[in-house]
Amino acid sequence: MDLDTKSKEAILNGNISLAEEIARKAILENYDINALIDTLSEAIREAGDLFEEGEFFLPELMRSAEAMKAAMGILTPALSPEKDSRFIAKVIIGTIEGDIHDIGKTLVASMLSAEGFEVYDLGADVPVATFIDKAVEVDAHLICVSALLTTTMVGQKKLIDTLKERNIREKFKVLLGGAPVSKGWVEEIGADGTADNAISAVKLAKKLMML
Amino acid sequence: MSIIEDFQICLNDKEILRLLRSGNSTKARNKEASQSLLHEIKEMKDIAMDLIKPRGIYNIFNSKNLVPRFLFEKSEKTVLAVCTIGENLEKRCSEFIKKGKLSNGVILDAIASHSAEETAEYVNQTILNDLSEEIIEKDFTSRFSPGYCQWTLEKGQNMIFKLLQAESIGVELSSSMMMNPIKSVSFAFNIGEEVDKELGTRGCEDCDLVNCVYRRVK
Repeated sequence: MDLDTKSKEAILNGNISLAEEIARKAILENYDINALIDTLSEAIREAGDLFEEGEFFLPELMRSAEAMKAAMGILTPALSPEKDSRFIAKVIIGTIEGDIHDIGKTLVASMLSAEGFEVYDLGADVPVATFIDKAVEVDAHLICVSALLTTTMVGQKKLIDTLKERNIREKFKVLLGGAPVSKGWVEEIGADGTADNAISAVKLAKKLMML
Repeated sequence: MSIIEDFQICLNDKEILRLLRSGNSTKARNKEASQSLLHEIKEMKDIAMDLIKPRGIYNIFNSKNLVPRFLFEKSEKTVLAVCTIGENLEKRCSEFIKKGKLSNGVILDAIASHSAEETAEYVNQTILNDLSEEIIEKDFTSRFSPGYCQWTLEKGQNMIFKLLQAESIGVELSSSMMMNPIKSVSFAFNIGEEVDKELGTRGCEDCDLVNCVYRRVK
């Protein structure tokens, strides 16, 4: 079995030890690391599609993400930071203040990371100022704000309003997540979009980054 | 005010798998889970069963004293209840996620959500049994919760937590109306001769939150 097929299989089967073995072998035997990462990325996208189609259950998708992370943990240090940066955009992600729901946001962060975004996960119960300060500090492209309650959704509006007040709204794309978030809410507060699962969120993020 | 505790709930793999499926999937809705996934679910269920501590608290109120009136006006008595599975499973789930064991984490989270619903169902049925004499020749609604049936989260949660000492079963309400532990359920149901029997059952299909992960109608 060639390395491409084997690496694709490692991701789609969520086989962490195989993914790590392939990554180590690629470095030891001077394989083209960028080509290998392209293959792995293709496989993680396929895993996402399989989840959306109902062929994969969420734990299977998560195992694929775990295998991808394991491989990238070995491959990334072998890349030249100047020539080979694989990060496609910087993302700030968190659950808004007053809300401690964490898991949905973490899944989105994991899938964004697996697809090549540089993710800064601020956790849950994050104040608006912390989102914005971090986004400015790292020169982020996207801010993803999760809210699972109708009472905490107002924090998403506060974030947009604060960006406008600071005259930096245009600097960032803002994506909203959470069960109560509708397209109407996105339009009402002037955000850039919403997605109802981690795979759709990655697709939307890439679309907004024109990737 | 009564507390219901020291009971066990049953977990159903089909419901856990439903929670672990993409809500968008149009194909393969009846796809069978692999043996390895079923094995992992069993392992996580074994962990969960030791950590779940289901409890509930309820009381019965005169409906005419409750607001918003459109929810309670046809009712004579209303039961308000809060129930929880406790905080231990939630903590274990967070530990898995923090360690990067996302697969285990999402399975435990689905088990926790299912457990909270099963706890609410058990508490609901137990209350009906406890009140069997009071509900003879009366009708009663399904349970409905703040945030659903046009009952705003803020008004509903404030009323329930003002009238019940939910802290005695370990549930607290935050200023953003979030229950802690998260896997808790607050609900009401109405009793009377002319109650709107569809209240609490028509929630999802008439709800505007079409992307809600808990939506049962696609």
